[in-house]
Amino acid sequence: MKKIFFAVFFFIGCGLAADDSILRWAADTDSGAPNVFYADEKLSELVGFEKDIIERVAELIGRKAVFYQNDYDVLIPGLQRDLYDVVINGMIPDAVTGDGVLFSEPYYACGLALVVRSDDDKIMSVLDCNGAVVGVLRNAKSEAILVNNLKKIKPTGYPNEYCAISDLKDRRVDAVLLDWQIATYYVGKIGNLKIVDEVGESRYSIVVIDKNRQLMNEINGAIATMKRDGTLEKIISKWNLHNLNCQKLLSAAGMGTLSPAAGNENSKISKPYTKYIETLPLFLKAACITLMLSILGMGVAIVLGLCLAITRLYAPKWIGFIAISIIEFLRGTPLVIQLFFVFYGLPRIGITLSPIVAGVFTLGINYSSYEAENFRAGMFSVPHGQMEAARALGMSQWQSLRHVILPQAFTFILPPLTNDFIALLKDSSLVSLITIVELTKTYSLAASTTLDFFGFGVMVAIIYFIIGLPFVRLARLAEYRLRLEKRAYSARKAKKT
Amino acid sequence: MSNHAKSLIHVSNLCKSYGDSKILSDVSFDIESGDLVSVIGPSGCGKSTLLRCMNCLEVLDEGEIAIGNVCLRAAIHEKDEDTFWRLAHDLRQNVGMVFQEFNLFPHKTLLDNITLAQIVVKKEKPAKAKALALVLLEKVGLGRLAHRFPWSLSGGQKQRAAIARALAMKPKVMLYDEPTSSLDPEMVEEVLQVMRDLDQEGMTQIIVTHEMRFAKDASDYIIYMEKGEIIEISDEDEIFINPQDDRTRRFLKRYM
Repeated sequence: MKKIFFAVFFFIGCGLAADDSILRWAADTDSGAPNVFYADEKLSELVGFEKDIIERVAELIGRKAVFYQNDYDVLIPGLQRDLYDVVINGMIPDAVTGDGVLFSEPYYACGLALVVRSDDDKIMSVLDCNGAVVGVLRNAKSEAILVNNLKKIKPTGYPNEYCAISDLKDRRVDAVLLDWQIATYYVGKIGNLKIVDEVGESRYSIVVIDKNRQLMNEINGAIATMKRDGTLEKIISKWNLHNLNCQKLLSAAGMGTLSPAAGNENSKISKPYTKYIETLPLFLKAACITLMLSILGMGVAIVLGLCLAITRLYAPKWIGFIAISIIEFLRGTPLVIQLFFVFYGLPRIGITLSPIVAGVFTLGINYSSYEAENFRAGMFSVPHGQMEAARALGMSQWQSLRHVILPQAFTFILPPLTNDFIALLKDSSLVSLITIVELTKTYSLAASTTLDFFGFGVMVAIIYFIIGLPFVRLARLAEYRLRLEKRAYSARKAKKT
Repeated sequence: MSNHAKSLIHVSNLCKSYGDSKILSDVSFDIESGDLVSVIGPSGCGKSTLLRCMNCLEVLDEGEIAIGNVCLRAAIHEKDEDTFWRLAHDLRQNVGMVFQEFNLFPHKTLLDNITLAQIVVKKEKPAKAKALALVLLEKVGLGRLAHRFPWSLSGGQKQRAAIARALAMKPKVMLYDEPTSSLDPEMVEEVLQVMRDLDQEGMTQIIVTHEMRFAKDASDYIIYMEKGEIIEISDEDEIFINPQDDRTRRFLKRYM
């Protein structure tokens, strides 16, 4: 127990506040290659050309770069919440909509590459895609290009690059339109795919909150310096990411011609099976976070649920009505929305919670509505005579509840309570949306780094199963003990007759 | 039926309705300390409601109930509910109640059933509460079964335990709501015997019952009720041999 509390304090304390000596930057490493990603399945070595760029920028403006992981979809809300100072993750000014943010001068440019299977000779250009199923990234520019140019197009949105590419390989889509450097990376890594066309242009910018205009100026200065002194070109060369659009960008800043790129050596392929053993500590650490979130969340849910149920049943009518409203509201709105509201919405009215606190709180209040109904059902199952007998003995309503009704109700609701705990254990994966790297996110990161969704999938499923199991057993044991005497007695009686 | 000042229980002009239907109308009686009184009458005549009113499990609409030094008036409930419930709590301290369905706490042993209210309500020390509980269990003949759970007992044993539980609060009056109605016939006597023993010790008891033989043999007097009214209050021999009212006569004819 002590350890858990220690862990909680550790995590609460780990959110760093704004500080002039460090540059807090964020990106999504999930399927992040070659922008920002982990080079190994142990998730120890963060690499990527954007990482190199931001570290150079930080160096030039005299700060130390500190990395923050967040989901791609909520990188900008996190910025607005002041979780970090900048976002650098292939952000394109006309594709990203976010109020109150500033975009820097572009640090990279590329076209969109149309990727098809090697054996496909029908689709040679974007114009051939009429009537075909084309995969694009959600919220990306590629979808707009396709829809604007072709009439009979069916773009399919994907949450990340790898899903799109693997669906192409599995023939679920006919082609994929992706940022050129990402397409190149995956075509090189997966094989049996080819790039047949290149269209449009995406210019990547660093994003900063608009209050931070001073920082934006410094970053723009740094980017200009990097263009001038050749460090930007060096980084792009190192990652083998040169293309015509990029050349235009660099030459516009007075750059010379580009030298041919050096080899790209970021993928270290380890032996099969050893990677599972090597990543085990990482997964176990993530499992501890998942478990801690779930246990604390369930604790909040039980306490709050009990209060709501008692209020609903025994408080004056109008207070009871408030309790019903709260229960119905919490039960009737999606957990994801509650999570976003608590983490990204509440700061607007001055309540800023750390990720762990927000996660535990949201899981807790969401599940409290279910527990409230469980408790209510449990209390209903206790015969009315029990309350009358307790009151007749002179106990107050609260004393009767505490000593007579609730202990009996609890034995009724133990099975549904266990059920909900297992559900919560799994729902806790949603907290990856508020920057916490737990079990599911670790799986997603490790699998997208190694492109091994199968092996790690089996592994993470087993871990979820194992950490849920003790609680199921514990509940069974408690149930058993509560009914043990009765069963032993009935058995004796049955024997006699 | 002596005058108000001396009697232990004084009920006057008690009225109670559920919605439109009147359950009790203008019920008045006095009971002396140490009396054993049986309340009889057809089903739905209001005898159970009368008992429940005397323990505030039902709130009286009109009239007053005085038991020992606590006097509860319906008027208080209208004016000041907090005061009413405080008085109700005091009233319950004087009254022990035994239910038809026993209502023992199934998650506790007999011993814990009996010590719980002592510890929670009277703030008694657990050791002292336990000592009293064991004495009472011995008294109702369940000394050996102190650590058993209610489900492992017969109906008669459960009801005796329920009586012990009520006695542990040291009430001045014991109320029984059809205490033998859900028992197998062979277990009725063991419960009635406990009540006879208590009568010998001078406990004041009011029993709503269909056991006419017990009512006749053990009661000091009998209250006959019908349609929410007291029809007749009389000596136990008189009511059975020579009922004053025709309604009483008709009822007893069916039962005896």
